[in-house]
Amino acid sequence: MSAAIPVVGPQPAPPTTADQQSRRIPSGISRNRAIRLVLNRAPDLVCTNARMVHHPYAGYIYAVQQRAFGRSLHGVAHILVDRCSGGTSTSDPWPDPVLLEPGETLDAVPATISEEHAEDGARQCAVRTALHRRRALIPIEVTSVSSAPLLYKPNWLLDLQLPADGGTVKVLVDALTGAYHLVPGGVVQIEPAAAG
Amino acid sequence: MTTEVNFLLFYFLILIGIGIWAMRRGAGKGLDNYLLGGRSMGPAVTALTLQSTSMSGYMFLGAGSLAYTQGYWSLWYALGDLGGGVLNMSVLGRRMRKLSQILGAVTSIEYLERRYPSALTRIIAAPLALICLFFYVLAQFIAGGKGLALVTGFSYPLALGIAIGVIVLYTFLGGYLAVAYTDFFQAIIMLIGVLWVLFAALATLGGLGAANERIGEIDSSLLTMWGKDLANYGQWGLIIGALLVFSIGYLGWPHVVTRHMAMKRPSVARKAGGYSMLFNILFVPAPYLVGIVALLIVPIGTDPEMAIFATAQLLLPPAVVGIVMAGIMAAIMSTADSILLQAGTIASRDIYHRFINKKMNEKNMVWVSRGMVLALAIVGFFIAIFQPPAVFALVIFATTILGSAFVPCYVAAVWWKKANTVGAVSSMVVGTAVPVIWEIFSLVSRTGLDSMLVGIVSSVTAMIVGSLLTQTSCPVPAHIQAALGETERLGPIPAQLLKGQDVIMATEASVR
Repeated sequence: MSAAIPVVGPQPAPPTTADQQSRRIPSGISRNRAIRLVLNRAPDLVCTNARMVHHPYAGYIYAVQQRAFGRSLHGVAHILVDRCSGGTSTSDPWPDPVLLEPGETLDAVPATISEEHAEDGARQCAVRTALHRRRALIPIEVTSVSSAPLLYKPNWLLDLQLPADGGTVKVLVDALTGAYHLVPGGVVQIEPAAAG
Repeated sequence: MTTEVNFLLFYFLILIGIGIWAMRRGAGKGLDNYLLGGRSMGPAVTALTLQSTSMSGYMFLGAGSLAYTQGYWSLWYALGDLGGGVLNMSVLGRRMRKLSQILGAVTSIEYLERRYPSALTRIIAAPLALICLFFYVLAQFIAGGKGLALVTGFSYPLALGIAIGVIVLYTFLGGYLAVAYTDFFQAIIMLIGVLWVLFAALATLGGLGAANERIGEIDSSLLTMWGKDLANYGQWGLIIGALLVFSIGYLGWPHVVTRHMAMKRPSVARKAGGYSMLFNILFVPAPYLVGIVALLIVPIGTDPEMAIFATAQLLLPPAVVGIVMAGIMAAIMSTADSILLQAGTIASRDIYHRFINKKMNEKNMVWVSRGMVLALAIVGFFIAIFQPPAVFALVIFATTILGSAFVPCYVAAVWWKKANTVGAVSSMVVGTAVPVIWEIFSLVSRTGLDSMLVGIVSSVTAMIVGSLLTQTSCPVPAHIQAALGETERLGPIPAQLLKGQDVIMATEASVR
């Protein structure tokens, strides 16, 4: 077991209530590991805050089949639809999601994309991906296997302080894969009063 | 049946064999190979498919013809071509890969519509791309027909029919054959084919220096950078146009820029640019040089577009001529199948599905794609057979239109936050109209300005003026602004931290 990484600064923001019918994917990466993943690349930074946040997705699993020249190829496509942007992407299989307990709350941005739009996008994505890679002239059959219209994916949101009073940046770490990205908005300079 | 034809058939069999091998190799994993996330093209494959798609039959017919008739002036085109791949990767590669993922676009036309959100974007872009791609693929058909006629001795119509048949068959089989292995194989064959002719020609003539001396005795103006009889002396407008066609022209090709979207990571672009440059250095100058020295090898009166074929036939043994022919067919097929498939995609998804039948199922979509490929082949056959225009002129014309209509849109999409829908639509319309008018009224010879140069300047101006005048009435949507902000530097953040970012997380990070 790794030693806890000290975190200084403010505590997590109050969470927002999530849809009670929704599911969340359990985190696969601990808070400490998420911090380490980032600090390994930037050892001079100091993590001042780390909290779990969730992002709304819709998850769909399709069976895809292509037949041509007497041969048939089968596959399973896992498609995620971002319920905020509508963006679709193929995915590796995700861990089994769990239903939110009554009263359980998540720190999540609200879903703005409708279920119908998400499902349509997911199906198109499955077809497009298969055709894109296998070229557009071979018939394809796409059958729905399962779906989760609201699936909360866990992330770690880290506040990092730059060295030499350079301000702070936020980094969002995928709590399933460890992939990360800086939160846009640039470096936030620390006010003298707050820094002091 | 001649040795050349036997060799060509053998080449096709190898291609099919590679395709079947690749299919069986992946059979155990089924489609999962393709459907799981995060498994896409690395730098070498990106570069090779980009270059084998870009380098069409033009390189063997048009480039040879231009060099044969204009001498070293033709190298202006080669110079532009040399930097085209790396420029494409540098200017668009990384940012387009990021933005297309954030916007959730897969096809190049869809990408334009999402960046410049309006149905009008697609209404203009899709048919325009379709028409230009048709001209381009027509040139590939003619190249294949002419080449096959010369090698086999068949009549042109018969050879054209066979060439188109092979190209269409290859495109239909493409689902199984056109995998990375065949792209790689085709690129290697192209390289071997053209370098073999070049080395044979130089060996016969005693080297490039000796060849130049003899060319100078025939017509010293061919050794200058101004063209035959110094016809283009001081015409910098033409020279800049020649440089632009195949350097920034690539940036506007829908079937080429779509490769950026398939890269594994944005950082792949940098390495792929290096590979592209290496391939171009080895490949691009060769057909031009063969065309120049062909003046000393092939009989006077030879069709200029056949200069490389004729040189190969005169200097090489039949089996090697077969390799050269295979190289030419590789160049043609690797380009033609991409164009035909791109045209099918545009017809089925960007036009039929988007505007005519939104509920269209997958089977119908495939049939629309197939129908479009066949329609292009049939129409192309009849146009090519009755009035075969010069391959070179067709390719240059299509590239000019694609370049001037689309380059500002693609470039501004990732580099200019103020580029909006009005600017993009204006740019596409002006970028199409100006080069067409320039050609129709023969303004190239009157003004000394190449239509590519005028087209690009006009469409860039339209983009800037259109966007700036309508910033308040047609602002760039906030989510696109946020996506574009993604590509900007964040400040004094450790380079390693920036480098390790995964673009997949960009959208989620943007709403935090």
